[in-house]
Amino acid sequence: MIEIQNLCAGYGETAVLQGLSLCLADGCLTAIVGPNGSGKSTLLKAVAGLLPGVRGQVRVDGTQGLSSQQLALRLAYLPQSRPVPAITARSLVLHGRFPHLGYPRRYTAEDRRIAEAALERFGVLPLADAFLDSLSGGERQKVYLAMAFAQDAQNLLLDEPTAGLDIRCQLELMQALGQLAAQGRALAVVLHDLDLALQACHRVLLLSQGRILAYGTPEEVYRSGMLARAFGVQVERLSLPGGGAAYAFRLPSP
Amino acid sequence: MGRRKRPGAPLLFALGAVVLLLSASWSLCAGVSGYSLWDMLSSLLSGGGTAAHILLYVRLPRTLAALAAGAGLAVSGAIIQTVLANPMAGPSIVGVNAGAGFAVALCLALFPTGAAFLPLAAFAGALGAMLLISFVARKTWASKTTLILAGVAINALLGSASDAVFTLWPDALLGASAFKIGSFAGVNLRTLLPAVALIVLALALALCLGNEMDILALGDDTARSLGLPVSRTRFLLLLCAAALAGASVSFAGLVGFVGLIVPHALRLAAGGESRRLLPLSILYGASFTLLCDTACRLLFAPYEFPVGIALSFLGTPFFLWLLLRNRRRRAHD
Repeated sequence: MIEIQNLCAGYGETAVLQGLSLCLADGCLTAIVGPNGSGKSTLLKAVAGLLPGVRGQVRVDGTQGLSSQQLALRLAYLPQSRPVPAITARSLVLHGRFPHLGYPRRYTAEDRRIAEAALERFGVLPLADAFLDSLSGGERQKVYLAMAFAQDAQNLLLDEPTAGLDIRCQLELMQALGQLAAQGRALAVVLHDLDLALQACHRVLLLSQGRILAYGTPEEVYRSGMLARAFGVQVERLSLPGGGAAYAFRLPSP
Repeated sequence: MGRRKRPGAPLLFALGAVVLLLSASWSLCAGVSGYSLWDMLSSLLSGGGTAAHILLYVRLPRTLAALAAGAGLAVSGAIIQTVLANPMAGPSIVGVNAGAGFAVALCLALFPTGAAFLPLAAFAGALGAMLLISFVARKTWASKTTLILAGVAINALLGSASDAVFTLWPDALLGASAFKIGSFAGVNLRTLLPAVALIVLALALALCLGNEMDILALGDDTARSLGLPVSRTRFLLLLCAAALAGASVSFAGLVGFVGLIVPHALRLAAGGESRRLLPLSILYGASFTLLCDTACRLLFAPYEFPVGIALSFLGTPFFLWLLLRNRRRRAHD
């Protein structure tokens, strides 16, 4: 669980987040949505302890002021931009176990077993010995997710994990994240696909200009009318035969 | 899509070990005197003689020097390429060798009898240049090519500073041309051993930091989120790279391109995982330098062709190929 109170963060003189307070609960998959520049990635970075000069309180599993290694044991963060080093998928996922290592920093058989299980969970075990630069964008994305999973942290923050994935991969990924939440973990995912966010997540956090416009279940956020206000589009909820709903978006008529 | 699988590590290590053994044996045996290794060993065991003298005071120091400098420069290059996230970087490209060279020139000018301090002076000079280029890379978000240009500028500045020292202290100029070109001729155990000790220490530290180096290559945000103290790790690795390049330059002079060619070629062949890249760089860096040096000794025997020139002839086309390859890649991105 991550409790955030009065969080203010930014880059140098530029303030991006302006006094955010919210709680990312265990067992809950939260989508963070908002227009470009609304502070979605900044929020994840501030919580992950990657920004200097952050004000306010961030408590991870009830504790604040954790060192970077203590934080890494409780919280896994996957950034938006990820380099492609010349290493194999297996090695990358194994590095997810780094926070668990003592000195000398050598991976154990148990670490290797956990990394293998993570590769299997995201369906990339057959690619374990392939170099990252030989994988497609979607495959690479899954390998990075397996690394975050291998970190075995209670809380996961993922910045645009569905970017570059085809629709089937996106749905499979959201399903896998839903299963992790069902195991009791707290997950927050930055998404640009509003329909996916509203359909696949338990809660939706809508940001605009560094402030919270709406935070609640997808139904509550939809009914608040804030989606239309934040994005400047019309939003329509379509009931699907057999249950569930899909969301359609269009520009307002002139 | 074709997958690049990892090549067999045991095969690469075995091949590297065999090549190193053969090149070291060749370096010990080959020379104008015509003694075989067996002659020299027999002479050594029977209490001395010319052959033993050549082995102990000429070939052994020279072989050890080429081996240590090759391993040191190759591992230094592997570290610099990772820390600067730039495959075109190397100690001779970004000004680290030039920094060490300037410090050596200054040390020779100010303390003409202080040969034992040369490795430390070279280390300090290399570290200064390394920190400067690292500062430029981090503070300006320089592109790969801009960083190389910054390296060219630092190289030019430190080269001029060395020339200024040689102009102001003409006595320090003795042997300066061999130093500037890079050569293992005339190395002796007195200057070699402190430098080799520094190289061995730095290699041991670099091998211990293999996992940290790989995690650093994942980008600062990912590395920090995995609990890695990024600034401290980067500084430690730069310290290793500077010690390796500096100590090598202190006895070999400005030997260029080993730190660019060897780690880059190995990265293409075996991937960038440090637990393989660093030991392979030791094996192949040492072998490559030994082979080049021995070939240079024999090519125009009894005259000697400086190894630094041969390495520049090999390294410059390789560097141009890297630049073109990088440009093509950017065009495709």
